Amino acid sequence: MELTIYHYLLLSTILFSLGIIGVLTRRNILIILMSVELMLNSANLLLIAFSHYIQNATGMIFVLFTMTVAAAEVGVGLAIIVTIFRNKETIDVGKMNLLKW
Amino acid sequence: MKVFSEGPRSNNFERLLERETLSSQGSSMQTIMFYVLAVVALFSAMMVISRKQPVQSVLFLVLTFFCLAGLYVLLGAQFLAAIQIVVYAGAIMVLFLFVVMMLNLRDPDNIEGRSAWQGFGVIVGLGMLLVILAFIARSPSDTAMQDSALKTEAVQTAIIAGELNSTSTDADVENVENSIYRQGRADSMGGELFTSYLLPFEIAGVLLLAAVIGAVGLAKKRRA
Repeated sequence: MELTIYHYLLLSTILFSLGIIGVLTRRNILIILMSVELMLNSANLLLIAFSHYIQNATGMIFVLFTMTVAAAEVGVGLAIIVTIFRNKETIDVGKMNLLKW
Repeated sequence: MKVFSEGPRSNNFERLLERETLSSQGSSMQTIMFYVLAVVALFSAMMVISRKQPVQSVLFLVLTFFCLAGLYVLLGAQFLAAIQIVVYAGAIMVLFLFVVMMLNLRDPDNIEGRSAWQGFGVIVGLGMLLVILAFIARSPSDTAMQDSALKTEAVQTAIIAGELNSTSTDADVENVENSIYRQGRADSMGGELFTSYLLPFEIAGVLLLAAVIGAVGLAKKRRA
């Protein structure tokens, strides 16, 4: 059987759902950030798959920008995590309740 | 029948049909590669969200990123596969590892407890999966969305444009067929990036600068 766009659609949908489940079920903020990376990557995969099957390079260029934004996001996100850990000695999102009303 | 087989165009179409039976070997190899990479990627993604130790999660995430890079190569995005390995599996994951090792996660206060919302999160994730799958199942099936159809189309376009004729060899036809994998190469990506997408490219540089300044500013020790 030959590969079609549907193989990639299915794979990236499942990867994205795994990312959502990770964000919603875990309390470790590092693993939540990793799950966000997982979701970004599944979107990247789908962009590249459509870009290939439509034979248009725009999707691939877009993936390059997504990767740039993801790199910036991880840099700032990890800096925030380090700062929070320094102040509150925890990485549990349940215990980070500064903004709770 | 005989009249048709003498024309240069039908000659090429015949050769094309012959080639399709030959190249089915390569496409089944691609399918096997896809399934292996997809299964490993999904397995390691599940491991990422289920491991208790963050270090194990990071290492499984690296494995996921490597599998995705392999899938990018299957889709003809060689440049992006290289970037994926360098930027994601290399730089970003090293950053994660550093932070995991810097923070004192052995502390009993930091052992992750069960979240009250865990079941709710799984239900929401699976519901989202079902909704997207329903949309995929409803979408009209498009047979042009596969590699062999793209190759046939490329060869037909080349024949109509006069680039392929009765004098062209099998290597020429193969060259035209492989042109469907050409758009993800570094030279064509670079060409697009520095012509049509020059401004977004420059803005991405400014964004990275802002991220560097923000990260340093946040993580720096305050002097009281």
